[in-house]
Amino acid sequence: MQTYHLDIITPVRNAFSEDVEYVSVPTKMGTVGVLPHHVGLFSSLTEGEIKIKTKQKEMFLAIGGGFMEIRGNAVTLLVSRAYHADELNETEIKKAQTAAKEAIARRTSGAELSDAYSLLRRSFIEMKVLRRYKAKHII
Amino acid sequence: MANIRLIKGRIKSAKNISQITKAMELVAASKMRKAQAQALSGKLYASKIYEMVLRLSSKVELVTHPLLTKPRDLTGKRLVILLSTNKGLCGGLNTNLFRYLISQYEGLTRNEYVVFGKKGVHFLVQSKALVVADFSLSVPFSEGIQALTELVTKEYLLHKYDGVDLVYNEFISALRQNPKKKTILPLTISGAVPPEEDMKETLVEPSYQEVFDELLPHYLENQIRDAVLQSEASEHSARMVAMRNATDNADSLAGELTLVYNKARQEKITYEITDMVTARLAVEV
Repeated sequence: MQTYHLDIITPVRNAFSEDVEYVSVPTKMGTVGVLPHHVGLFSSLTEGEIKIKTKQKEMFLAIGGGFMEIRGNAVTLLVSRAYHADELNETEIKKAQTAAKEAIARRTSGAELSDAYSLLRRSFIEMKVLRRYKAKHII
Repeated sequence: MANIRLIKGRIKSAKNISQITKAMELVAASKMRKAQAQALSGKLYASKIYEMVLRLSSKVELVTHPLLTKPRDLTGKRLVILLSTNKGLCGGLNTNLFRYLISQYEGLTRNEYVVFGKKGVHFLVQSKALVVADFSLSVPFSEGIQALTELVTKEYLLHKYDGVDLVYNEFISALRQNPKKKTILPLTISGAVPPEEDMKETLVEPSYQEVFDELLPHYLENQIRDAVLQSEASEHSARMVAMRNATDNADSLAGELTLVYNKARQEKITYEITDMVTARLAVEV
């Protein structure tokens, strides 16, 4: 199968740069699957998980919001954060999750509340990515 | 003798100072390396997002965005974001920056200011300028960037200011920092537009307007982040150089004082010997 080049870039690092066969990306308009020779596209992304398929393997990443640009045979994702499944730590995520839940239960307001909600959302996504990764590696 | 003891004390304090400044130099050096690495790691993202904004805006000349255009009725007032430091002991870094600030604007009090760094706040309060927000306590400064971006875009869209400028120390090398002014609002997207063949077929989702609404603040934030990281790297390198100079000075002072001390000690010994000799001669006769 043909491949194309995918770059995932965050403000602090270049999280992924390889030739891939397929990637599915959560955009504002729903999940978009990108195969080689996709039509040019510029789209804004939401928080969520990315599924990448290269020649050798399949992998998942948890990302924050950002943008995607498809030009010719190169895809660039600019996202606020990106973590590979093997970089995620289950206990850390659970801790963050409970902290966020507590903050929401305490009925905080304003910026603190929206922070808590985004933390909760993020930890759910990370958890999902981690579960998939684990399921794959046990089998 | 009192004189000798005095000199001894001064040698000791000069040596102590040199030790302290040496330690501060090392701390500043390690912080500078970190700040530099951080500034570099953001480069790729910054250049990519710049390219995206450029391409997208070159494609649609028709779309106007309030962040891209000047407000219609001018107030004559600008918002200036001043990036100074919280701590001193960094040579002429802040002084140069403030002198530059004065040279750039006629009448500091005409504009309003958002400040990072206590030194900048002190300076502006002394010159009776209006400081609307002080982000000095968000350490490291990059913590405050998001809040600042929101504040700036909001105020700008309310047409309170004609424009927003960043004034900061540009990091050129460990030995050189230059004060710099950069206008960030209204956004100017300059630079050669890369030749595009297939742009016409590109789809934009959900719509140009929505993508622009998100992309532009993001771009703005990135520019501010770049300036903040550069000014942090500047601070640490300026401090490193200042502390190295202080160490050298203290060492040379200690050296000079040691010479003086040795001379005085030698003199004292000579006096004692001549004393003894004359006393003996007096007894013999």
